Amino acid sequence: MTEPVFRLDGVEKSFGGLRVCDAVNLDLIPGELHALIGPNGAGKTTLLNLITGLLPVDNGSLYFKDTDITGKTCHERARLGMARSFQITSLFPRFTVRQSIELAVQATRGSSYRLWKRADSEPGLTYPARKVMARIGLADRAETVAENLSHGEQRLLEMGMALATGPELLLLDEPMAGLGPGSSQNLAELIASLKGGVTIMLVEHDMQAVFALADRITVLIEGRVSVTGSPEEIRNNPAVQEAYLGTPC
Amino acid sequence: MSTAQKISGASLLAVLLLLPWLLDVLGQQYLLSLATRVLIYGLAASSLNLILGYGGMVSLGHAAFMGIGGYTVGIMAFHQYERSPVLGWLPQFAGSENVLLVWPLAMLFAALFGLVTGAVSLRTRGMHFIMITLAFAQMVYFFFTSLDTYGGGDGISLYNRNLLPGLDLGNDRVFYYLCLAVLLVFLYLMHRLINARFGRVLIGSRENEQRLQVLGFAPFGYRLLSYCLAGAAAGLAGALLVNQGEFVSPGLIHWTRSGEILVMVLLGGMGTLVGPLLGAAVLLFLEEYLAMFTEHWMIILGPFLILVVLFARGGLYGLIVDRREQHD
Repeated sequence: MTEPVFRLDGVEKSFGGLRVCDAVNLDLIPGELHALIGPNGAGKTTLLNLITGLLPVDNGSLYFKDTDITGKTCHERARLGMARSFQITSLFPRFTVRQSIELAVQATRGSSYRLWKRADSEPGLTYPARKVMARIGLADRAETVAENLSHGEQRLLEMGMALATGPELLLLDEPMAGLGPGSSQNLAELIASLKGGVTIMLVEHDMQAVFALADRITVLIEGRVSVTGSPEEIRNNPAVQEAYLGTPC
Repeated sequence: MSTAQKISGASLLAVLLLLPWLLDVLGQQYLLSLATRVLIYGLAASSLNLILGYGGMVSLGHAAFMGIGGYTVGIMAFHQYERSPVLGWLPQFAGSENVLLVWPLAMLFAALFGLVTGAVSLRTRGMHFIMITLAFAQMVYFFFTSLDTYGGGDGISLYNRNLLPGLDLGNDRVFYYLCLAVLLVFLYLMHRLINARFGRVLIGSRENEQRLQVLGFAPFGYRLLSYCLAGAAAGLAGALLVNQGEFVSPGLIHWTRSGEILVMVLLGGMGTLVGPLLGAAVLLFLEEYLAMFTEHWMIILGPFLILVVLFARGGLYGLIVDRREQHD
């Protein structure tokens, strides 16, 4: 087996008396799309917060490309090559689409302690940003302020900012939340087009999308990894069917 | 920038450049000193705008920077007159009135104060940040009040303004143009700064700090540097103000002065390039004119400020000019 890109080793997290992550072990294989599913309150978003460093772990270790990142801060982890999108849209409300993407680009390309040169005249920022905007289909909205975008466009910008940092590991927290069928389909196609180039961890409630996109699926129930396997194995797992899917699909 | 903004900017600049002659024509020369004060407070308010308007840091201690800059001028001049060593232990150095030495020192000390206090206060947010900056400013206030050598609460009077080779700063018209030049240079530097990479990160930290961290930025360093730069500019404003009045006292550092600068930024429009200058102009002119009619001028000014803050969220600048330019 190839070296995992990311490894969780016995990760635990409690909020007061509530254990939200209980001895979670998980490996992400390079290039795979790994879906994380589970009922509401299973601890999926908490797990993403632990991975990105927004929350400290109580116990256990996190490894990114064999580096122990347990003690590293959020922005240090991001600079190593991790990016995420948020379940609740988290943008820079008064930045235009172009400025948002350029800001994400400059996060991983050179120092940002540049005080003189106009950011929008740096080809090193504008060129990659234009490519990302074309990829997410927001090129014609480049000069629109983020808070004036439609919900669907905001979800795309959220994805675009994560992509623009050029990550090796992309964590997507319910990218399709609140989207209509058309926009959902567009986003699913975008995610499918990323497969192979970047390792993706996808948290999603849209089961159709999950089973269509995922290489492997992990089911999280009450903070514990219930099972990890291929979509086929998960679909046929009786424990999963009972706890989560309800009826066989 | 739209055409309307270019025209209004150019006409504002023209008025500022021609003001001494305009006042001559109108026979109102005494207003020149008020106009100079507007420029100096405009510089102080613009420097606060860098951290407040663009960085989202609500500081209620900005007068401390002005005080440090102002006292640098006062203390250096004092030792020049007395021919005594600065601080009592710098035997080779008996003060100075040279602009080229004293003003950079004023900026340096203010920036250092920003570095030290910023390193502590920028670890807090919101209300705590307001209180800590206020507390540091009060410490500076009481520090200078307790320095009996330098006049204690009464302050220091200067015999003349600082000396700049080739220019007679004692001439009010020359001094006005110097202040105008300093302000324009600062506004241009700030314009460059906020449109460069650094400014994008600074504004980003105002807009959404968590998102910025997840992208890979550590906001603290950007905040601290902007805090020091704003401090240096406010220190220079303090040095200018003390030169204009040829007097420095702890009153310069009183917390009401910090509040006044804050009001100028809110009134004019925070996060805009010329808003704070506009705020300084309106506030100082209103104070001056209302005080002619009644000594209770605050009864009129107070409600006016409340109305502007309530109904013009972009400040006066937002009322006058298109809102779109606000954070460009």
